[in-house]
Amino acid sequence: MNLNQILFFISISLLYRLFLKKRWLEWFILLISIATIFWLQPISTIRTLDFWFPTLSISFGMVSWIIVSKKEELNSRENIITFVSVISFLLIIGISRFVPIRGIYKFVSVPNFIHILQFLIILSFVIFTIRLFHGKEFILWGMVGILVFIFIILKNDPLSYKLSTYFRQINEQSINLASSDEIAWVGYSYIGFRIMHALIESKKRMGLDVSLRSYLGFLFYFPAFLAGPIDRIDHFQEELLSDKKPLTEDLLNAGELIAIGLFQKFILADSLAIISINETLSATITSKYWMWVVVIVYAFRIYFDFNGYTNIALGVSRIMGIQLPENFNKPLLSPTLTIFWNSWHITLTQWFRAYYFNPMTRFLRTKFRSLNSQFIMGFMQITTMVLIGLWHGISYNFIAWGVWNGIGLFLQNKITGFITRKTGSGKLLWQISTIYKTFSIILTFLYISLGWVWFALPTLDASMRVFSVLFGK
Amino acid sequence: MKNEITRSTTSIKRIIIKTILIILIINFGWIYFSKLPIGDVSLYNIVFDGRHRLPFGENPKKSYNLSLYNLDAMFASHEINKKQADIEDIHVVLIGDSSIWGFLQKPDNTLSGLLNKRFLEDDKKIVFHNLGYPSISILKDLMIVDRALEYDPDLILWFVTLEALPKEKQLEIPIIENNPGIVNSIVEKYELSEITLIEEKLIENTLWNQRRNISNLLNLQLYGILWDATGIDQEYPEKYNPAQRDFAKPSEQFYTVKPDDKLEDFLALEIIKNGVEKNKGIDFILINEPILISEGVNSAVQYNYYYPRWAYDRYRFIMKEFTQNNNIQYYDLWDLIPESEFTNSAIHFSEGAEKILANEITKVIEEFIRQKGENDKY
Repeated sequence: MNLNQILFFISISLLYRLFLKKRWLEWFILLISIATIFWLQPISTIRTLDFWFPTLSISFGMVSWIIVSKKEELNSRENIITFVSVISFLLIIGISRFVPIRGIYKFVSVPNFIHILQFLIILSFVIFTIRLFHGKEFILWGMVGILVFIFIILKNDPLSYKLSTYFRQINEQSINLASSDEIAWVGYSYIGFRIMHALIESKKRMGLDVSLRSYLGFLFYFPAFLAGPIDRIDHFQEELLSDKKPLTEDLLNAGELIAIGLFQKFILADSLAIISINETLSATITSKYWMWVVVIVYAFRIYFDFNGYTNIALGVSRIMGIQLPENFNKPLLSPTLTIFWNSWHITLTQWFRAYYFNPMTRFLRTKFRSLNSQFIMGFMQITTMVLIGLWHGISYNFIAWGVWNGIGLFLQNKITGFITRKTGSGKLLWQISTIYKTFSIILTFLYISLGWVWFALPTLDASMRVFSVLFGK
Repeated sequence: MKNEITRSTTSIKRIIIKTILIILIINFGWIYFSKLPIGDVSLYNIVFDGRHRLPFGENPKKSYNLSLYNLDAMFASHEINKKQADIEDIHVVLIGDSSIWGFLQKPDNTLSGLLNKRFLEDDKKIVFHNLGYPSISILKDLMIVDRALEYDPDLILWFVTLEALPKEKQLEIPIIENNPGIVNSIVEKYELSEITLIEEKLIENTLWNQRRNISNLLNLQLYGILWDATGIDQEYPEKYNPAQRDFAKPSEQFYTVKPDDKLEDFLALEIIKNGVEKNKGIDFILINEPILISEGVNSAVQYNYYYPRWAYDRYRFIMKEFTQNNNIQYYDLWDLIPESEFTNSAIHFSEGAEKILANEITKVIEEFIRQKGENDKY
């Protein structure tokens, strides 16, 4: 998001808060969020792809709602109105091809109207079929499978490249210009995870009590669309329904969050980005001293960048009276890796804990009783971190980043456990004295910073070169 | 509910009014702060090495360098600003355009880099400082000469070319346009009757209007780290468009001057004359820098992209006469470099060309030292 987009979101949220009644909140969020999906999707060099990706996001939203919602919700008048409104929105974009709206091409390249109609017919058929099998578990897991499958294609460069070539072929565009960068489905990582969260929760609770309007609002909530946090649907619904805090309190809080966020993102992070480790610097810096500087600066940069965006999202949301969950809790001051990963991108970590770490650990402990519990713990910590790495992109470097952090977590737990047993105080070393705490914070920070070397660079070779400069003579 | 909204609205109004007031005070207060030499505050030469040439870069992400207009900051980032360990050294300042700055050449391969290597082992160490800057204007040169005086140079090698001299272009260079205060003081100090004063607008110095300059000052410090860490201060493309050698539609006109016009009336020679005259304590050597002499299509009309033959030939004659009349030491090296040794412009040198030029300048310096032999320092 750039400054203009942020300013727009602040203004539009303020207009809602000052002039619209609360009963319009869900409609307001839905319409602005759906428009935002199209707005933030960059114009693609593959013809009309920037229309189809957002349209697919919305379609996945509607299809998944059919799966997760309770049967009695499906035919309610309110949901049918929402359904028709969303379809109308897509048709209006399609019609803009015939009645050119000034400047619409800057937002989206509109495909042939017949293609839109064909797509909507297919979508209706899919929805109709899924309704027939409502409540069946295979539909739910099928949807999860499709989401993961798309995720793998989007996050894997060779597969994205193949998809780009295919799209170019069917569009009769030059395949020589195909590139994996063209397959940029904005917001998919977050949308996919929110849908999977809703699917799994609906399985646990035998369906969710959620309207289509608030469900789509939850999936595409515009302040959190690009950089999270990944809210939980029940929390989001509570926030939609709860009484608002006084206007002044909300606006002051929002103002503070936005000001801090803007400062973190556009002043600190953008400045530090200049001197953060990247592919070029990894190849050109020969001085150990400066290599340490650019590696450590990256740790600050990524924190300020991400936390800055999160604060802006929290602030914009707060203007409308909705409190999103915190995503960071002073992670750079964490004395252990466990605490760090409980304070960094909290909602993503919680997602993996809830839907992978806990159930999988339970599964291994019950099904493979002979396995050593330490082995299970180590295996789970490493695989969880590898999966979090793969969420960012499917490459050897993200796997290495996951392994690095997983091993770190495992070893740190072993070491702290050993020391606690030795001291016999029942406390961890960093809890005993300030000196130990300071030392632990520095050690944790350095370990995390070195881990970012895998994350920031595109190849293992580049990362290894950085390590050889850092630790070479 | 209505009471709550009324109370909230009043509080918000107060907050908005206070915020606007604070913003206005800081914004306009910056007009005062902008007059302070904040550009002097620099980490160069303290935390990381000073740059070998003045900061200039159109693509900072690749060149680890950027163009800015704060002369204090530009000099503060240069190695000339380092406290000189040995004042007995002879300090020579090189002034000129992008050819002297060393476009497409690594710092060690620029003219100053080669000369420093050559004179490093002498008993009396001669240190060359590259103060070339990639824009062609004689007024810009004088502005840098004047600022360089603070470093007490022993000799100034001032490289000139015809393109730097048209009166009409002197104020149209970005670094000139963005330094109205300094330029006006130069115009007054050197009594430049042909240059009009630039109007200074206070509103240009508000925080809002200066935001880009402030950001540049900070970024210059950050790029200093990358400069020190990598030694890169310029983008070195693998391929570039070579300088134009063929002229399908050759022009006889140089700016607005035609062959029948009087070229000397068009040139800002007063800037050189007064610049040298007003700094009598320092030695100046004026050098007509080498240019590409094309052998391509219509090269009988044009030497290169910049110059019709008649204009450049007449310029050389004018310069010879001008320097003789004003007792300025002058070397005309216009045809020193073979055509093949130019890169992407008619004044940009290859590595080989830099070596040829360095050889020639070595002779000039040795001659200068010989002339000055009676002085202890030499």
